[in-house]
Amino acid sequence: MAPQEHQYLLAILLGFATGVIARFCMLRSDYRNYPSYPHGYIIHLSLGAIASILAALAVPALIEEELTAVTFLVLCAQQFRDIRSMERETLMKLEEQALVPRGPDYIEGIAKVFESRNYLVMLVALTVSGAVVLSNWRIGCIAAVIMVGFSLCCMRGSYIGDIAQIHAGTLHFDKSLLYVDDIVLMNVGDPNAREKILQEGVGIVLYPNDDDGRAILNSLGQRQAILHDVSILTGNQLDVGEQEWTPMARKNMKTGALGIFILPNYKNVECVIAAVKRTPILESAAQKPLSSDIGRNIAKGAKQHE
Amino acid sequence: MNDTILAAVTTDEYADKVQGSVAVFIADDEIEQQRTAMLLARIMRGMSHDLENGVMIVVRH
Repeated sequence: MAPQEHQYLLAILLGFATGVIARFCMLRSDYRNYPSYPHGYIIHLSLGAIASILAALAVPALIEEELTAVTFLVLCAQQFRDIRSMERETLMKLEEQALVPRGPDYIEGIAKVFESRNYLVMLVALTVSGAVVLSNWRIGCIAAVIMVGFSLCCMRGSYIGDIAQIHAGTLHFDKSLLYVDDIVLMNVGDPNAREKILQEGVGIVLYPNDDDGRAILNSLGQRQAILHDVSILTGNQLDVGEQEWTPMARKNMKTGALGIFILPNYKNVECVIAAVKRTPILESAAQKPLSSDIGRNIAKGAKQHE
Repeated sequence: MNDTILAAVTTDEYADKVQGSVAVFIADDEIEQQRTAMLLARIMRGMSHDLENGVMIVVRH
């Protein structure tokens, strides 16, 4: 084998291996149990492997002026867009049987993440293969470590705990209306249900740090994501035909604070607060009114008014 | 709109407060009214709400 060909083979293999490793590292199955082991793993690892081999081939193909191969890569990148719709469809079907659904915003966020992870894998494989071709395998190995670290950094997002202060609230009834502190949640007609809610229910209140946080908590998709994550982490006594135990989130119109009620399996306020804090902020909910003049002026005016 | 009133439960005293096409159940007293509303809610996968005027309704959300 000619030295140049040997170099190409090494570049492709190292790029491919790093891409697969990066995809494996990004394939975290946590409390959300998604993707589910082992079938979801196999689907995503296979797609990640295809993405990385294609990207690893690109640099040697370009150097050899095999432009058809490079065009093929672009064509395949288009195909990865189907991953998003595949994820969306699967999760939407699962929603039909969920007691506390994720909500379309959360699903869209997850679908986007899975698509983007394949592009990240392509970037990792492309960089590593390029580094080997243009320098040597040692530099390629350094690039591999850096790129895997970079792809893991790209996975990190913001959490509810970053944009709001979360405190325990007091659940109480005014006749049939359930409140958490001063926020009205729902009307409960059954006196036995009211008693159970007071005994076993947990009420918490989220106070947004600023107007950006307020806008995020205002999003219905974000509220549903919080309720879903808390229900998964702390358990939920909700069952079919027992809507009194439905977890609920309602806002205080004046302050933008969000009141939440949930009936967990075991009453532990600290755990519920911790679960709310670690709920990811959805891309669709992330709004930044304070980055505009109008938003800042309104916030300033509101402070002066206080 | 997904929310539907499935039934109304009241007592003789407040029976004139419910009209229309909704199914109305008349109970003898408040305890029977609450029990009936709860049973209807369980049977029809709804939730009982108290309108605080002697009428309870079962709603599917």
